[in-house]
Amino acid sequence: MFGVSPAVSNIVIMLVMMQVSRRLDLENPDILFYVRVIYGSLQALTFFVFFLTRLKINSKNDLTTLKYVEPANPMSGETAPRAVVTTVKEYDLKQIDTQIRGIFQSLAMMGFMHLYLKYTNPLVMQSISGIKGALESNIVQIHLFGAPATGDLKRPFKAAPGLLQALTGAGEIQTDKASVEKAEVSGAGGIKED
Amino acid sequence: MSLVNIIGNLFGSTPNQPKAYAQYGLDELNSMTFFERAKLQDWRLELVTLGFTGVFVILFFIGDFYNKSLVTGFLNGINDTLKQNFYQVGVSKDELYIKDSSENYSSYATGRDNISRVNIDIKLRPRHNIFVWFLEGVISFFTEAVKKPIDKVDIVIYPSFAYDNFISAIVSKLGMNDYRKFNYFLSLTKTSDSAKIPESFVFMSEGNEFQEKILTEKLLSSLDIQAANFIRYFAFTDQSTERPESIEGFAPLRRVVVSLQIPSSKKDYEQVCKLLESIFDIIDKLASKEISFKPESLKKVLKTRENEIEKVQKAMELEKQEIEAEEKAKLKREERDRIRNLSPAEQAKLEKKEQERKQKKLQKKQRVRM
Repeated sequence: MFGVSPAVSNIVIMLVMMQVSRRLDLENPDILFYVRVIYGSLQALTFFVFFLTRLKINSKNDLTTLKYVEPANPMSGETAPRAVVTTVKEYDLKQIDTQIRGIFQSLAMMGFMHLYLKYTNPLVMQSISGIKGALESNIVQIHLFGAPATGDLKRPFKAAPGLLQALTGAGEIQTDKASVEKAEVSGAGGIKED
Repeated sequence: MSLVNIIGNLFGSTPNQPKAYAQYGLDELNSMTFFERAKLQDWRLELVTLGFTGVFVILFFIGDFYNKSLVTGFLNGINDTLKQNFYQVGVSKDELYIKDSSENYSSYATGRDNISRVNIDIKLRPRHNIFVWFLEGVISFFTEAVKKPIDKVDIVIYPSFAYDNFISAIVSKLGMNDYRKFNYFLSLTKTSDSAKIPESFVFMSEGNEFQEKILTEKLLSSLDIQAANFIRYFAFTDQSTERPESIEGFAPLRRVVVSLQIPSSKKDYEQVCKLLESIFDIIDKLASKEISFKPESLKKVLKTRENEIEKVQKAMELEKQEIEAEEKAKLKREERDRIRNLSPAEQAKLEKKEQERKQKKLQKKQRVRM
């Protein structure tokens, strides 16, 4: 957005929204009502954006095969990296589902903070970041804005290195032919069903 | 407010009790008939409970009936093909299938050249239990631990003769990662796109030769782009579905697994029947050695098995070592506890002994050094 990296614009928006929430009289029930309505409708809009993207993915029905190697997740007791063999469509749908789960997660958090702890400030600050994150997400960029799926938008998407990744010592997704071919036939499947 | 009142309010009436049961005198109660006495109690909570139970029971029977109709529909759909091929279709002479539960059914066929038996397992959505069905549907969206309920049929065909071990499958692209995840034998194969099959399918096999020789004209004619919606995968395999944890688990169990979703139209059933027939044909060709494979390909297959067995052996050895180390630690701990429980005099004696031993060792060392 506007040629600024999302991390920078996030901080700017946060600072602005902090000032806004300071100047708003959140004790006033009218203002509180509008803040809630704005928050709710922006969340609904976010959901709608993802829903539209989902429709787009399904109508494109891109069955190109996509192979990559997921790093072992020590948290869930995996020892060896696991090959993923999927299609572009399925990969995209999975991304969208993760994003939609994110909405529900943030709704639950906000429900706890606002309804139980009675904080209103986060409601103001969080209202924009959801829809901003949605519009900036790779999957929406590709399908709604028609950005070509190359460079940073090449599937599988690279996850931004986070703190959790550093803590668990998880590696990166690999896409080179040699490691894919090795992991593909390594017999990592056969997990008991049910 | 009591629960009775809350429910009463829900139904739009305020509780109308001029006099509670306990407020009546003994004489008054005695003069009433049984029915009149029963009427004094507020029965709304009981009625609501009974109502819910009744609705649940009715829904159970509807779901159960629907599942059963799906099973009979499917088995009738492939019945002609099975009848043409097998002497016995169904679990016994007059039973076509066995109902294990409202969501699990199984059927069977036997009596054909080159095939010892066919097992048909049908697993359906839990329609009889609407709460479980709904909850599984919702929770499966949020976590991978719960799987989305679907209607699926697994047909496993066991040939009655021995042939070379290999794994070769044609898999629908819709959900292929899950199939690899839950089927050990598929995770031993290489996935490859091919222009020879509809683009909604891929080959998963241990070598080009296997997939090419298995793909007969008839098999190909049973597949089209739409078929990926109800054919999940079908695989020739000798390895197990679950990952073996012991070396015995690698013993070949040659079979053909056909996994389907319940087809919806008559055309789909025709394709499924064609698919089954073509698989029976391929099994005949394997028996008559019309389909056979080059030694190089088979060597590669053997190598894969050997590697996998080695992996399990290594894991087992590691486990053994761990157990041994644990046992050693346990013995040490017990010894320490034993000493701690001895009388102080005996403990002192032991300590002295220990010290003497240490000294002797030291002396020995010094002597060596000198």
